[in-house]
Amino acid sequence: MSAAPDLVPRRVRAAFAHAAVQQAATRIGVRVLHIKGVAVDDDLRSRGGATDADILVDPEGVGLLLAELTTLGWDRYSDFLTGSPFGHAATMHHPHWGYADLHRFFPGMHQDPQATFEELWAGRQQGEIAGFPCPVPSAAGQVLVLVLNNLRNRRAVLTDPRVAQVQAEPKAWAQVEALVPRVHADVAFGAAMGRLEEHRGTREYWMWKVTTEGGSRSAEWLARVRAEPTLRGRAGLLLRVPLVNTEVLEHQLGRPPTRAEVGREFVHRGRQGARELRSALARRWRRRAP
Amino acid sequence: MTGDSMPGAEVVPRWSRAVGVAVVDVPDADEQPSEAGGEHPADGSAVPEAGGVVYLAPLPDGPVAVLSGASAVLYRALVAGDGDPVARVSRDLGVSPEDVDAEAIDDFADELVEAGLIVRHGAGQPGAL
Repeated sequence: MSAAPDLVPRRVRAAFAHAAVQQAATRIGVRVLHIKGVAVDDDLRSRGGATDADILVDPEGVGLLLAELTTLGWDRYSDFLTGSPFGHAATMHHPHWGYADLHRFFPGMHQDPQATFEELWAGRQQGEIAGFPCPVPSAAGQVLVLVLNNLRNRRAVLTDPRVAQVQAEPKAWAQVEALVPRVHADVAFGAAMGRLEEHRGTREYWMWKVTTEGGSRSAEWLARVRAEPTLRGRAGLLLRVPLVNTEVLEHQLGRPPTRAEVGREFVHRGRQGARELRSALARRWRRRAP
Repeated sequence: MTGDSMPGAEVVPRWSRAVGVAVVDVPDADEQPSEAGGEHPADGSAVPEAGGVVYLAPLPDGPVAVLSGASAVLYRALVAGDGDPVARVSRDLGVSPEDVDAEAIDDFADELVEAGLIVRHGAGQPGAL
């Protein structure tokens, strides 16, 4: 009757991951909102179906939840600091439930993670995933997550039929637009709607400029540094630029990397960053040359 | 005196999914999911199996129990809570009630109870959910 994890479809395991994280969060009293994939209304789902569980966690409780999941047999696959330039999510892996991305904030509505979580929590609805009650954002919140997720992954927003369908309903779209300032997503939402230039001069402008127009990983990091509101945050990001994601390296190698391997990867990333920086400077110089 | 308390009245057992067990019911699933995790193998050779697949996950540890085909039909009949499982199985499989082996359903229910996937109520047992 019991099946090896490989024989259970990934989207089924993702549903179980949602339920397992919800069960753990409920037990320790941490609030979570289930986003993307099987957590969203049918009209907003992607055709392929999600292969992991995405969960927005109350920023105050995220450490507690990570610790609880670890005691329940989940492994840390990647960390906040070594993941994306946004540093927004840590990925946990369970031998039976697969992957769960725990978000401490969502890129695009990241200016005030706690206030944003409270706003989304206040508008939550009760969903059900794998037979478990799971809170999900309001319909407007789900659309906003879809829009910002498309933006971050450089996927078309305006031509996405799921977005177009909501835009065609003025009342529903007005609710999305009303939510945008409440979660400080003005710049990202503007970028997604093709109106980024209206936000030139804001801290986030370059971050979304690089995201929407493409750029190297170094450029992405530097834009993220520019968008960081505090000096301390900027310094932290700069220190993280050349860090090696040891978790991912470990998964690639199938064993913990040696110090020498981490060192080689560090040098490789440094060289790659320097190359990208040289190319960017050369391009800038060529543009300025008469 | 109500019917429930009539001397000699038979108590019909009822079952429900056990607390802490998650479920994904895929009524139109293919017979064998691909190893890569999708439900459609790359060569598209899978044939949908009557009854589909029910995946049951005892949280937080697992593993996943997979009930496919007739087993999925039996599980749904047991937890439906809308009457006699024999009648439900007969309806779902399109066979006459006489052709449904009630004893086999009981045995299957016992197996699921033993695995901690469902609980039996009735006969004085409290509800599970």
